[in-house]
Amino acid sequence: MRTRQWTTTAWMMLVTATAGFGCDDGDDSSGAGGMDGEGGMGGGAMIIEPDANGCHHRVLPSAEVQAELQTVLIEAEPGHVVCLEAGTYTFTSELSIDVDGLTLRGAGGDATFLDFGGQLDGANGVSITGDGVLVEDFAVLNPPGDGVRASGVDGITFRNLVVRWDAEASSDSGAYGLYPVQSTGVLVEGCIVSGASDAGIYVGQSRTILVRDSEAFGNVAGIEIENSVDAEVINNHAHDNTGGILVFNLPELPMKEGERVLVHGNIIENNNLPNFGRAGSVVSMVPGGTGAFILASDRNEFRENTIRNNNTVGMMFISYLEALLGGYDDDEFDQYAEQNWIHDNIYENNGTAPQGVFVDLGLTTGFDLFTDGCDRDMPDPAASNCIGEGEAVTFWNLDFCGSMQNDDTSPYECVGTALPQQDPATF
Amino acid sequence: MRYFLLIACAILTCTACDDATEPAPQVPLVDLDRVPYATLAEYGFFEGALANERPAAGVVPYTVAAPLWADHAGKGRFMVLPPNTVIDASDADEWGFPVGTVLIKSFSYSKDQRDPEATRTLIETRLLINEADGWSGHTYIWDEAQTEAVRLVPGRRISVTFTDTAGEVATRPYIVPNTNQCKSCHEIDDRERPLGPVTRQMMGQLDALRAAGILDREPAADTPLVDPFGDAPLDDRARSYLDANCAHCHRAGGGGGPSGLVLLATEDQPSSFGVCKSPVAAGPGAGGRIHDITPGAPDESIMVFRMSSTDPEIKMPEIPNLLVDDLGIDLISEWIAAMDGSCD
Repeated sequence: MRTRQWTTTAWMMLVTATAGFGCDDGDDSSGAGGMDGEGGMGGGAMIIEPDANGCHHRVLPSAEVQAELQTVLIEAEPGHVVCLEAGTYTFTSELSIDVDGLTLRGAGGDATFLDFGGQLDGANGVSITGDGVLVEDFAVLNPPGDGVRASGVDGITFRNLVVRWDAEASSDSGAYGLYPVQSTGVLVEGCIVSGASDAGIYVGQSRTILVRDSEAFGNVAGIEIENSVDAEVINNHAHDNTGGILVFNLPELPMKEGERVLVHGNIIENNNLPNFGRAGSVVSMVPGGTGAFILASDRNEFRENTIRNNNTVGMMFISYLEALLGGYDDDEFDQYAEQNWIHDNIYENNGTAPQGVFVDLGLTTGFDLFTDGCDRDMPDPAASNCIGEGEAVTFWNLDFCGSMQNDDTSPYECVGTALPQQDPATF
Repeated sequence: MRYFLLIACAILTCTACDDATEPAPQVPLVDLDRVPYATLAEYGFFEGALANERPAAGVVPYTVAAPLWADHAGKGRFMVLPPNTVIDASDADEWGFPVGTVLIKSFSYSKDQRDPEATRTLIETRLLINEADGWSGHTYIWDEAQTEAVRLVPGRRISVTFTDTAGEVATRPYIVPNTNQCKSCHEIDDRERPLGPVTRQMMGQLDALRAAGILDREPAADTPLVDPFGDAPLDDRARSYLDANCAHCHRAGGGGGPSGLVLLATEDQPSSFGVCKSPVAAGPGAGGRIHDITPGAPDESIMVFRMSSTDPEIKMPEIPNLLVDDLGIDLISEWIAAMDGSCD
């Protein structure tokens, strides 16, 4: 029995008579200003104006914050800004955001802490399915599953977020820190992710991506772009992971072909953490000591990165080798890394103490640059990769598909296709 | 709103003053400008004591061939269509319901597990309402006294107490999902939609729907699901179980779509429904196993590993069950054990 269309008179009559049913609908022309009571459900919801800080809703830490914040996130209007004050918020369940254009904003990655250490259900800390959502300025701590996942969205921005697992190099930690998947228009900037048992910053099966000014350390993979198209990874610091920056293409996925990832201006160093990924995950076979790694992905460009102190290999590009990674059933999958262009990077002190599969292969020393060489065995050498690095770079071609291991870069001396940068304004 | 009130008044008027006219059966009519209502009683779906769930005229009970596991909860299912409307079942996988349709599903448990029929406590009643811009899901949580259920937006973790099969008093947690979580199962291709009333789940009830006057044509053909714990062939039972429990996510456009694992019963490519398929982003969910299904080896299959876990990072389905389905695990294990071949 709630309607704002009742006149004050009708309302008073009802109250006076405590009548059971409001059939006195006589005059609804004076709806504006009618008594709304506690109703206001459906129809024209009350319009909430933002405060001076642009917040439509403010939430403080409390014992009831799970229910309170989740209710706000469900009932907010598209475009609303939900602000979290500084402090620690404790959650036992996943938070989800499905409202388009919503902003969830904290007071800083070092001030607003979303603690999921006691989470009992839900596979993510924060799960996003609304389009055009912005999450910024808060920290997600110790989620048992993934940190912040955005699935199937058109537009998602992660800004100045911290995702952290406190256990060092633990396979019990969650898999992914930031986890946009099957999405378009992905922006990650100013984020810090550490401790993920798979990838810290992971972008999967997505299009039009910019990852910049972020830091990933203590993860199995620092930054991973997988089966994705048109990405730029710039000015990030990937250090002390098992592998620093990975560009992967994997079989048996709905999005088949990843390509055109521009990786430049990053510092990729000290990625020497022994692999602590769980067996069965693809990254669990990445050898500790890996700086940058292209797996079966095409037409990427790695340039002007600083790649140093990675004990196994500074940079490698290899095919999806069944001997190493197992078989697959996917006729559309192209297992070769092709037409990548690796040039003008700075290499220092890589390959001093190889780990993992390098040891299994009998390699007692690592390299700045490494390939399985299988791209050269294909019918079309034009589809091969191009290297344009300085003379001092150490190189090894394993020639896995042939039998002539060598250190000759000359077959790779060519100029590849330069990739455009992403325009930050479009995100 | 005004329209609704006028109708309501007209009905009252008829009942009170005009006994010369036979009133048409009263079908509960939801006012789409006001939904979701604050309480379940307001909808008028049930006659008499609300908790008895005795359907009012026009409220049609139904069931499904292969139900979703829900931590031993019993379920009631009902559908209410606006007066003089019918289902368009020309799409086997997505029946067309008229705007204003409400699907009702209640979750209850027996206070005494030794006698499941004796006493029943309702925990929550979920509604899917077909509004002009599509379906929306809402949850109503029952009070202790079983007199009313009120709408609950943020979900709640509650505990239920019962006498177990050994006669001991037992308590276990139960999750009432939040409104967003409705979508984690019901949203496919960015739209919420019903999961139960599809041709493959409803083949046994078409006559009942016709008798209720809400189905006037034969649905589009589909391979019917079977009772996963009935006497149909093992392969049909296992595929029906996976379809009912997993395929709302594990299909193109579903939440598990990115994995490439498709568990619809109609999927005929073994690698797509998991045979020798490597996981991609399972992380610790893989449990050190290499393939979703390793023929002949349920213990080496990720599918069984994840069904057997209650760890939020590992368990499947992700939500909302908290208990593993032992019968389901037995069924899928038996099915995998009987598979020929290897992944080498």
